[in-house]
Amino acid sequence: MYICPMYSSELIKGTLKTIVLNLLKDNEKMYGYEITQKVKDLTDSKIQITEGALYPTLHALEKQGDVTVEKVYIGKRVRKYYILTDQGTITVADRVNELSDFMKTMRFLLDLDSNVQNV
Amino acid sequence: MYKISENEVDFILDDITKRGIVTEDVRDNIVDHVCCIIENEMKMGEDFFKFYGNTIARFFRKELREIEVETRDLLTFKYYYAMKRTLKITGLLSAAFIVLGGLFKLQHWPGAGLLLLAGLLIFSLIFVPLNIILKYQDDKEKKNRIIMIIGFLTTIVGTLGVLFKVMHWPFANILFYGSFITFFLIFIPIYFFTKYKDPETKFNAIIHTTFMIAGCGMLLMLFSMGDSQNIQDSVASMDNFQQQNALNLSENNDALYEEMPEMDKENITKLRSISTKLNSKIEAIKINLIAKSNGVSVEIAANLTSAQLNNTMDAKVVEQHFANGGGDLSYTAFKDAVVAYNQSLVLIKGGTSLMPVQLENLQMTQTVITVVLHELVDIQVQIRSNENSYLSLRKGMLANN
Repeated sequence: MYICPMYSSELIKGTLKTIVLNLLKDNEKMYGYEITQKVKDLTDSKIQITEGALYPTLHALEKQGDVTVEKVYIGKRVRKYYILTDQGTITVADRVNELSDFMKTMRFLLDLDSNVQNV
Repeated sequence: MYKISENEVDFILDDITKRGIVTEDVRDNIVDHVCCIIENEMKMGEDFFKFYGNTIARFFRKELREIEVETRDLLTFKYYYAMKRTLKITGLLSAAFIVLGGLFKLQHWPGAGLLLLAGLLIFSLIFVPLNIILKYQDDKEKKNRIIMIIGFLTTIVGTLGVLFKVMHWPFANILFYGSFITFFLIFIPIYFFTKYKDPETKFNAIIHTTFMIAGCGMLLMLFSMGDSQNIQDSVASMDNFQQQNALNLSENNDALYEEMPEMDKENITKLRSISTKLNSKIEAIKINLIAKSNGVSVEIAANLTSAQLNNTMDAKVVEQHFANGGGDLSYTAFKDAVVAYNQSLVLIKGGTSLMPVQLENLQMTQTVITVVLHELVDIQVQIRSNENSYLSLRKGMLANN
């Protein structure tokens, strides 16, 4: 469900929760639009999160207890700010570690380091 | 920067509701998100409705409802995994408990009842219902869902029937046979005809139905299997043999009573009186039990023996009409009569060799009719042996004098 001009959706499927949780770790509270914009800015538009993928994920994270919600009323609109919980802090550490380990394994598996040296 | 008006917010809210976003939380998020995009990205002078149309199109592939559906799926997905995990755990636990419970019961080890109770309850009340929920979600076709639900419901009732039977609780037979008949007469035909119509499942339908009918047939054979005929014949012969002994003793005693001289009349008359009294009581109890068990009148039952019982393993009649029954023919009345006999026995002069009836060594309740009848005849033999030994002794002594 990503729109990602650089990467295929298969490649980064499953990392959306890690991206969102990690952003919330560095920012006290964020709302949906802010998250999409932040990812876009940080990656030079290489990764753009679609709304269709973001909101189901945020709801799932809320249900799992990794994030809590703070509602702010702006006229008739309701803005939902997402805040990382204590449990979410542990989850984000686990997920980032797992992803980092996975990337190391992939580097080794695909022999990327030696390829770089050969070039 | 464009500032969105309240009317425009209302319009967006109304539009996305119409497009199928019904969960309030999801709706709030989308409205705010759309507003943010419009406020940040719409250029001054641009048409609001046109820009909104383009913006909302970024949210989905085919229709906006996808977000709602995916949110719901992600939320239920969590439960789906939890349910699958519970299914695995309860499945393993119940299987282990049932097998261990069966083994313990076979070996008469303590704890068998508890293991079977836990195993069968977990199986029928957690494992099978969870299966229904998960399969219901998996299979969207209506007829498959109906077949699956009938099948699992009969499994639940059948399992509870087995549990009730093992624990000797009431209504076990209704539960077990009810589910068996439902399975055989309703589930198998529905299963066969729906699956047979579909060319893809036709072959499997024949195979599965054959297995199920064969299984039911074998189970049906087991229902009618009681003790073997040889065992039943041997029990009947044992009863007849004992009954004959009692009769022979009785005739022998009658002859001895006739031969007794007038001397010592008081003790002999007393013995005869107390023996006849207890004997008649026992005879009445025996006839009553046979009459109630076979469902015939007392007059007809008087001519029947234990070999002619319809149900030799009838425990209910013992419970209702002897163990827990009131009145003259109950176990309590019988016990009183035995106590009275024993008390009178010790008062008979020269009766040191007379043996009191020791009921405490006999288990006459919580058993089947054949055993009670056999025990009663045993007591009759004892009463007559007492008479016989006393009379023989007196006769010998008087002859020596």
